[in-house]
Amino acid sequence: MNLSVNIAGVTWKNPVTVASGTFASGMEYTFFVELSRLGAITTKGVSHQPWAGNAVPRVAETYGGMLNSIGLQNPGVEAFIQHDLPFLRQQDTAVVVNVCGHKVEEYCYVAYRLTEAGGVDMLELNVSCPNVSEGGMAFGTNWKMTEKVVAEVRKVTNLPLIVKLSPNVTDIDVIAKAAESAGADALSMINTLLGMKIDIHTRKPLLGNKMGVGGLSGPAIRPVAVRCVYQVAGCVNIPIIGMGGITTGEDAIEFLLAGASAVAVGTANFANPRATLDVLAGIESYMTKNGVDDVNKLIGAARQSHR
Amino acid sequence: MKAMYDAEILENAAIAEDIYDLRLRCPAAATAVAGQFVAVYTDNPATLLPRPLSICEVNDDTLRIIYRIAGQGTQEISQRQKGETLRIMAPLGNGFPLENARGNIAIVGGGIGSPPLLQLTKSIRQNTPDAKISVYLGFRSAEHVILEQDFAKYADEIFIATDDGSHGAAGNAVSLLEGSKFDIIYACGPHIMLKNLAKWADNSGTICYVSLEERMACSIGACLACVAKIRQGDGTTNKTVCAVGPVFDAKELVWE
Repeated sequence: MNLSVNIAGVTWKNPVTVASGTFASGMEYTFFVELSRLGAITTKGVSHQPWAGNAVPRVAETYGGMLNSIGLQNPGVEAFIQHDLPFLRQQDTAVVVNVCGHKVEEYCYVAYRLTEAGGVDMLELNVSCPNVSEGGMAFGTNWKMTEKVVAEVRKVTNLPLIVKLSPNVTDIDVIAKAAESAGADALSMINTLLGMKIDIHTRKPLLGNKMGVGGLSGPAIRPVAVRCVYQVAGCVNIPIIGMGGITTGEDAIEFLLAGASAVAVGTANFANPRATLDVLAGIESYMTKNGVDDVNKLIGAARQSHR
Repeated sequence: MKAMYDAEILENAAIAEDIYDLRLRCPAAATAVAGQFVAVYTDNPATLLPRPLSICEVNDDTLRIIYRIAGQGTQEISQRQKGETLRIMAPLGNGFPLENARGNIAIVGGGIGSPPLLQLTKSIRQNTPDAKISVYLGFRSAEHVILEQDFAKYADEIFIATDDGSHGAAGNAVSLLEGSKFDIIYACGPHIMLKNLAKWADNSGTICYVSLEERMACSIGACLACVAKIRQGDGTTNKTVCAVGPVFDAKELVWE
C-alpha cells in the first residue's frame, strides 16, 4: 500500500500533518506520538520579533468545536532557530514552518532567515489568522495583498511555499488563484472561521481580546472546509493540504476525495493527543477495505465522479 | 511521566452543592505530587476539550479529585458511575515547591481552590513534622464548606471564613491572616483572593506560591491558550499555566 504523497516536490511518507498552532513544534506531543510517523510536522506561526499574544481567556469551547484567540504568541524567529529547529531537524519527517507577520517585510525576513538556517523543508505563509489586529487575515482576505506578500516572499526563498487561506472571504477561488499566480507551490485550507461566544452571566464576550472574537475550529467547521477544498481544487493546479475538524480517518478521506493531497489534524489533538496516528490508521483501514493500493488514487476522486 | 489512562472510578459522589468527590484508580498516582492536575475527557464529541481538574489527594494507587460543576463537561463527569472508566491525562503541570516549607507555614484556600492544598498540607506534614501548619479556608457559606475534617488531620490549626459568617468568621480567607507572621504561604483560589494575598505577602516580605486556574485546550504546553503574565527584566512574558505552572511565585506574576 502506498501512502506517500508529493507536496510541491517534497515527499511526505504519508498524507498526515498537523494544523499550525495546535502542536507547537511537536516536542510536547512526543509523550504520545512518534513524530517520525507523521507525513510532516507543521509548526506554530513564527514572526520576526517575539509576539506576546492576546489577553486571556484565549479559548472557549463551543458545540463540537472551539474558539481560540491566542494571537500567535511566539518567541520570534531567532529563538525558533535556536530552540526548535535543532529538535525538528532530528525528526525523520518533513518540516513545515508556519510564517506570520504584520508587514510584508516581516514575512520576507522570517522566510529568509529560515531558509538560511537550513533544515526546513517547506514554508507555510499564514495570511489568514483572524487573531492579530493588523496583518494576518488582512492579507488573506484581499487578493491584491495576498499576491503581494506571496510574490515578495517568493523572491527571498527557494523553499516550497504553502499559502494558508482564510474561509472568511466572499470568494475563496479569487484568493487561491492570486496565491498561485504569485508563486505559491501549494495551498493549505482552511484557517479558522471568525466567531464569538458571549458569557450570559457576565453579559460580555467570553474571549479576552479587545474585539471579543476568535477563530472557530473543530468538527463543527468540517463541512465548510470540505466545500472550500472541493471548490478551490477545481480552479488551481497546485496541491492542497486540507484541514478543518479532521478527527478520524473517514474525515481525512473526505478531504482527499474533495481534492486535497494531504490533510492536517488540528483541534482533534486537544481532544486526543494521538489523533494524528488514529487518523493515519483510519486512512489505511479505509484503503484496505476498499482495495485502494495508492492513496494518490483517492485525491480528487469525488470531483471526477461528480455529475 | 504524563500519559493517557482509562482510570477506574472508585467513587464519584456529591459532597456539597455542585461539588463532587471523585476517586480514580490510576497508575499516575505513583508519581503525582501536590499541585499537579489531571485532564479529564468527556468522550462526548460536543464537549471535546479536556477539563483540567486539580489533584486533591494521592493515596497509594488512587487519585482523589474534588471538582465543581461549572458547565456541561463537568456536569457529564458528575454523571459517571463507580466501576466505569474515565479517560484522563495525568499527572500534569508542576507541583508546589517544597524546599522552603518549614517554620510557620500558611496554607490559604478559597472555595474550590482548596482541594489541591490538601495533598500539599499532607506532604509538608510528612516531610517536615516540626513545621507549624496553619490552614485558612474561605467559602461562600456554611453549606459550601468542604474538607474541613481532612485538613484538620494534618494541620496544627485551621481557620474557616464564610462570606456570610454562617460558619467560622465572617469575611474571606485572606482577612483571617491579619496580625500573623509566616515564613511561607501557599495558596489557591479565586483571582481576586490571590491578588490580595500576593499584596499582603509582598508587604510582609513573605514567600508566597499560588496555584492559578485558566481556560485550557491542550493542557500540555503546546497551544498557549492558558497563559499567565510573568515579570521578565523590565517587561513581561506570557508563560503557560498548564506546563510552566500552575504554581507560580506570587512576586513573579503581574497582578491585573
